[in-house]
Amino acid sequence: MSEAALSVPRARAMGHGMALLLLAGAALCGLLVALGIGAIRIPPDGVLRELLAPLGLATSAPGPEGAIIWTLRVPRTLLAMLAGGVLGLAGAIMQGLFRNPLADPGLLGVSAGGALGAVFMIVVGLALLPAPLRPYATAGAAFLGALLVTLLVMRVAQHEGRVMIASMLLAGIIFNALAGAATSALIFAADDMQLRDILFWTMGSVAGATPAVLGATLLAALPLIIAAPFLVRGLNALILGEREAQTLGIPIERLKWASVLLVALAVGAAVAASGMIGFVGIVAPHLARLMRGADHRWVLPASALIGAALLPLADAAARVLVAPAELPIGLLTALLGGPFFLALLLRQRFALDGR
Amino acid sequence: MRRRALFALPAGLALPAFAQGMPRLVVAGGGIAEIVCALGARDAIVGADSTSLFPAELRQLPQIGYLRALSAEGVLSLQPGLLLLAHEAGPPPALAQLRAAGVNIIRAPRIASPATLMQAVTVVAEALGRQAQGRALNAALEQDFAALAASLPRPATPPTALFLLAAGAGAPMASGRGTSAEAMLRLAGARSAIQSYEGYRAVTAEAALAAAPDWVVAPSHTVEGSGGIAPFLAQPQLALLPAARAGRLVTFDSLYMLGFGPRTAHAARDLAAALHARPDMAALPDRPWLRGAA
Amino acid sequence: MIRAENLLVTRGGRRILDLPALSIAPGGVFGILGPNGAGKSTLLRVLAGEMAPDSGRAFLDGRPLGQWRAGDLARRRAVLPQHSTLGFPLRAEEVVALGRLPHAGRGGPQDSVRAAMREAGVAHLAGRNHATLSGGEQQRVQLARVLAQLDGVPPADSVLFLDEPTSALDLPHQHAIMAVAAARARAGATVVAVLHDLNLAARYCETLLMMASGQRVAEGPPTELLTPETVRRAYGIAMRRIPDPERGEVLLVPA
Repeated sequence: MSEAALSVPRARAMGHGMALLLLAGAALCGLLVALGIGAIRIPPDGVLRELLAPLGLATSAPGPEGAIIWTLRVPRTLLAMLAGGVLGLAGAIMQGLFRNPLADPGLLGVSAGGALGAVFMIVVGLALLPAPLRPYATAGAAFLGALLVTLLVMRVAQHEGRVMIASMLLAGIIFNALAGAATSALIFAADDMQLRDILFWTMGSVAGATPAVLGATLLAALPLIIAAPFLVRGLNALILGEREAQTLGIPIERLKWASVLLVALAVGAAVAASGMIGFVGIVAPHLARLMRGADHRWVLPASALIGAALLPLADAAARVLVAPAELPIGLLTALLGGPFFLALLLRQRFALDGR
Repeated sequence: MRRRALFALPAGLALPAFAQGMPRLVVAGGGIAEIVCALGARDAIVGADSTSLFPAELRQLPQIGYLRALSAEGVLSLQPGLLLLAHEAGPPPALAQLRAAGVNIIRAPRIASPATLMQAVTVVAEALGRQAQGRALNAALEQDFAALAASLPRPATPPTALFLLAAGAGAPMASGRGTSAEAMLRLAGARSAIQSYEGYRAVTAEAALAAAPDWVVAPSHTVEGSGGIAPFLAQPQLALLPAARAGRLVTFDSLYMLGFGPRTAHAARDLAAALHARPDMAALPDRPWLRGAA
Repeated sequence: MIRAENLLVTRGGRRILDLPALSIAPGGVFGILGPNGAGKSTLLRVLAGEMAPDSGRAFLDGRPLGQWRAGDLARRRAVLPQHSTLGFPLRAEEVVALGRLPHAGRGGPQDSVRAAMREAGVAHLAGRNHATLSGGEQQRVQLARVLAQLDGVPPADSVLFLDEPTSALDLPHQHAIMAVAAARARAGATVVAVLHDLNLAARYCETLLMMASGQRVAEGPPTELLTPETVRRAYGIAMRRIPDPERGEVLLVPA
């Protein structure tokens, strides 16, 4: 990333790069912790041995630990990490684009569209599909729903070749309401079993992670991850304002479309794979800005890493708190994220002077 | 729940670790759990889902969550020798993971009628190696349903009932066609007053009035939650119904009435006695599983 | 050097800008005056390449603005709007550094930022949170930001647009900003400012364009242009012109 903008730090203990390395370390710790705990107790050395065994660095124990770690914990923990990273990164990009610290991809209808797709599949579609297609049908429909609603929002917000941020917000509200109404209609038509399925889907879970789900989600998230560094300049300019960014030579329409489409693709996949997981997208960028300011060269990668560190931990907590049952992960992030966010808000109100 | 080390197990989880001839049992589905207990295998159950509430001792066991949202590792941590599932149990990925981990899984057929109930008994009994007890249970169930059919009053027009699942805030949820509530009404020689839709729906006061039920049927916990019979019937969605004005309300224990297990014939008999206003109707034979015993 | 011909902008069936020809030379501040809705800001946006006219063309250095690449244009011309609100809290120096975005990868920015802050008289505010500065201080930080944007090209090649830069400011800040702009112009830059205060315009501008209803009412040096007659034609109010006894300039006061 370029050194040109925002690079007049006062004497700082360390650069962004060093701080990012620390966050990456935290994400790695989160990963190891999440792999290490679960309903079945496996001591840390056992976990390490099973993790290293496939590399030939250790010999697997004869018991079922290897299978438990590799088939149960590794896929869901990696999915939690990926989804957390995507949600954090997408949240930071949306906040930068809307110039609003409360923005998240939900504004574009990604979540509402995903929910509509998933609920449609649960209530209507599954019964019509041949059995072999069913396992991935709900996720696929959620993904399509997320993309479709986002495209509709952008299409409506576009006027004379320009997408107005305010129109985007309005269109988002409209289509969120419409998708919500359609979802309610489907819920109304649902039977008891479907209702419970819908309820659990909306509370989010990474329990369904398989290598295939993981691979598909990564594929959809990759464009956003790769493109993120190229969005930094534009998002930094946007801090000044849309007109200011434009006169600084930022191709502002391209920035909007690229950001929104990449975010919808990645978050749509994350929602499809793991259901509705709230607050990561808002809390992670907030934490990042609180640590080292609003420069997007820092905020984007930091938000991704914070999300990737937090969600595996939340999933680990979801797995052990009520074991042998498990909590929906979305319930947990909302439960922890809500009070955290409240504290942040109150703190900001009392300390307007910023950093 | 995690007191015992899993690693004491012989290689893999596939081998049912028979303790006194019984594998460690994990059960998901209230009806299935009742069948297991009626077959005398209650002591083998080491974990149950959140719908397995009868007999009450099951509630003391480690809880594996709702039967549609099971956790693979959670179930594994109970080292099940056998996982007995109601047809509805899931989600499929968790079941696939459990199967891949070598857990022995038996899934009962969907229970919606006396015939499917007895099929489920056969399946469970075979899985437990208790075929003899299974045959005895089925013989008893067959007797019970036959006795019920024999003593059922058969008026020219069967009584109709508005079967409510929840009432209070907003419109009550009333059963239409194709629900376990409707199946119970049929077994009791009655009809659902609402035939226009499938499943449970929120029903308006006017639609309820148009359905003109002879009886209102509601779960006792809902009635108690609204402050008793009089306030329950006085709420605006119900107050205008002739049945409500006449106090024609039947309350029931939801587990007993809608659980679809070995106690179903008895529940149907009790419902029939109330709906046909025949408290003297012949009682079915007393069975140990009515008290949660085998 | 800025030139425009046959500019026409229509909104809702109304011509909000209709200017047959315009030419702006470097070396002095070019002031655009007129009542609200006269088309001043529209003209500035067209000349700055922020919006394309419905017909007609504007040129920078003889090249139509539509043919400039956004990055090249951004290194040559900067725009200071009336008021900027930041989306997120930044320090003053970070705001100024954002002016260097178009120059990414073209040499160290540190000197440009510091020099621009000194020139705008805000060096002492460098570490302050932009949101906690007064309106005048914020505007001067933004001025430093556009100065930093133009650093690295010869003054004679740079164009600075000021869109009602002083409207909400107190007197010292108004003059501070105009003084910096005028100094830039004297150093050879092209400076175009939309202004509301006739006396401020008279004091700092080399040439004035008086507009009303999207059209030119008059154009010329302040002493010629600022007559009660042109003011009446543009604004529809009566003014009295009195000579400034000390500086030999003119002052306009309500009649």
